Amino acid sequence: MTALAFALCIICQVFLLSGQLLFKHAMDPGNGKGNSTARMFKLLALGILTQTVYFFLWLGLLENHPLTRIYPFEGLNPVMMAILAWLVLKEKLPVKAWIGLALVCVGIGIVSAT
Amino acid sequence: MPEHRTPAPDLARRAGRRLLHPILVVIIGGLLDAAGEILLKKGANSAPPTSGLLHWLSMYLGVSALASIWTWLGIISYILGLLAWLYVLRFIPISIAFPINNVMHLAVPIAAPVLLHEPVPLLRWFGIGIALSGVLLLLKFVAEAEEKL
Repeated sequence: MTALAFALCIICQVFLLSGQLLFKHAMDPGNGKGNSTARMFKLLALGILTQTVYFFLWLGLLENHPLTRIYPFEGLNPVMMAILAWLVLKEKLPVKAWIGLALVCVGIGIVSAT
Repeated sequence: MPEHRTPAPDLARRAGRRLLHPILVVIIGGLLDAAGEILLKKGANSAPPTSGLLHWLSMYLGVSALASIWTWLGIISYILGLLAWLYVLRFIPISIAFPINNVMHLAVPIAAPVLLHEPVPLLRWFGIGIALSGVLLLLKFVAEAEEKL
């Protein structure tokens, strides 16, 4: 796998994850009051746009590389998501949850690679 | 609501005592996604009908898989899965909900031998087991957060 393909795989996942963060922010801005309907739909639309970019990037990668080489990147998602949610949404997790996340990633990695 | 969001009390306050419990919904939503994937694959595998409304529609749109009723069931399943996911995001921190939803996708390799007649190697079962044990840890954390309420 070339460095470019590797970088594209990571960029692809970043689009997927930021789309999810936009969804989360649309449904729950964390102020206990929620968004106005207009703002919620604006954020949802932005999230769907981001997910669409992800979808076509992923489709392009699937065309050019065997699934078993690129699918393990999906296994990284739960941990990358937790890190992003921690940075962007200030969500904090206890150690036990981090261990759970790591196990999920290893398991998905094995499933995708076999 | 304080500015810093610690999941535990937050989670307990907002997720508890709901008719549609978010943890139940995230599991159902993940299974709907998995069902969607299997249905799409079944639709792509099946021989399309040569007449009827769906045949006409698939010719018009230029996607042959759309001729299969399975494909449409798959799309409906995906949409329901997305709605369930958006509901869940209102109540659960995304760093918890996302891995649980992800792992529910493992229902695909579990169901594939039965529904699609695809073989699953032993090592893959091992991976499924590890991922599920991770989810059990996450669910335990959520349950403990609720008990504190």
